[in-house]
Amino acid sequence: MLNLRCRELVAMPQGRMRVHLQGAHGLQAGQVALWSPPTFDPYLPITLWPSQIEADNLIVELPPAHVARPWLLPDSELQVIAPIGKPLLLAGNRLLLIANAHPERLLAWVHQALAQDKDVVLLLGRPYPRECVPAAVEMRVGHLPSLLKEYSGWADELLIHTEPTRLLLPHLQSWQFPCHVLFAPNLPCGVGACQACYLPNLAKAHPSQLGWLACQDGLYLPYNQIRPQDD
Amino acid sequence: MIELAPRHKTGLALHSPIIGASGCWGFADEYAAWVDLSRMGAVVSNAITWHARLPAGAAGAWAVPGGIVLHTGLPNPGLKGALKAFATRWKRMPCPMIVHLACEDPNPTARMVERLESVENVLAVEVGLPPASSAETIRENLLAARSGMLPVLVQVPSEQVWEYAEIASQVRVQGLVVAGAPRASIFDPHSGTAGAIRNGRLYSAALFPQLLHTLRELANQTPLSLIACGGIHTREQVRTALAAGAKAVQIDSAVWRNGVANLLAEDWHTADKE
Repeated sequence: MLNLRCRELVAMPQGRMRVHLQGAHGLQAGQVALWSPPTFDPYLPITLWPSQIEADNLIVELPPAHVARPWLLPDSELQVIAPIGKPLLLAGNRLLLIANAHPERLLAWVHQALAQDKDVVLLLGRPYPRECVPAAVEMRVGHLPSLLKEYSGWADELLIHTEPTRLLLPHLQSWQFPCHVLFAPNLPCGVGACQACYLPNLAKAHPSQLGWLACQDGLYLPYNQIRPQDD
Repeated sequence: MIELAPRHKTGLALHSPIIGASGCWGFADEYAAWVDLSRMGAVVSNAITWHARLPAGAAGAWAVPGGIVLHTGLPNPGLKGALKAFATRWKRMPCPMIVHLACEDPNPTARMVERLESVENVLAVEVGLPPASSAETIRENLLAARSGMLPVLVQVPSEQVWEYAEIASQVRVQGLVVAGAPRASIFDPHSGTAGAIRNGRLYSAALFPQLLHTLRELANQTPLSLIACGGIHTREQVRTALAAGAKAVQIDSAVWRNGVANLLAEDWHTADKE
């Protein structure tokens, strides 16, 4: 368990809120924290998606009306299970990030890539406040398959988060560079115990031969080794 | 010590009445980094079958008010694979292991129990059967499990409590696990199919009153050890379940929330004596 302290709440455009949490030792981009509020509703632990990680400070961006908001007050303390998932090291120099639902879940990569002097383009399927994204990032909103085609000659690394997960997989057939898909199911346990986050493993390379456990093997998985179901 | 199998030749003595329930704690020591397993009476493994089972195509967890509906399809590497993957981890566990066997045919059931008898630190098996199993299937599988050397606990579904209790008493297994997560269905608005339904099991704190009701009715009707399971989150609930006739409790989804440190902080030995 990690004990996080809520340091600050910052209002963002369009009703979004950034929650600054302190005490996230060891959390890296690609990993999340699971938090259960002190009441039984919601019963399912809430996944806290880092939008930015700096030393032991964690920034989580919440969309409007997020279920966690009533409990996240200045100086409140959160006991979380973290880190969940495997960290992922960026390999390329031109990072293409694609999202159609929750772009804030990819923002940790933006900050990490910029800190490493990489170029970043963010392609979105729905509008998202420009002010929430660093100015150095090129941001485009539109039809994702078309945008993907447009930028595929530029990028040398790709991270995708779409709902449903399978949305862009058919458009990646000829992709030659590292590409990971964020598989973000509800996570009751986060430690591989409940088995809610299994995905069939096409490569059959996993030691268990049963599939990928997203909370252990992910949450980012190689696009050509997964077969998402009806998510 | 709490003895869950007083008439069995090896017995099933646990130093705490707090047991990790099957389906929630993993196959072995998945929670070792988060929970002091040495303070647990035992952990029950996730379901293991004779042959390996792949994850369900539509595995997942869905939030419902006050609970979670979980569907997995009981993925596991099969008994042979499980022994290869977990036997060493079971041996090193700081608490005893109880292996949950998802049974269907009596022959594999007997063979699974036999294979587990020589595995160090596996002190008992817990038998689970498919939903709506016939009396014959229940009886044959319990007899098959009972033919081995290990104490046998039976996971009793809430839909068939009395049928299971009667057969289990006749077959003379050692204990009943009452009644775990009931089967549940939810409408899935994300599937894109009108009226799509997801099936699974319901985990919720709201199940405890139902558990307590069943436990109180059953306690006077069976000589078998009762292990209470379903929605237990607090020390007060543990005390209540023990007072209602349970010899031990299984903790299910509470471990997914804020852990079980509150339950393990109590010296249940001392509490028992008081």
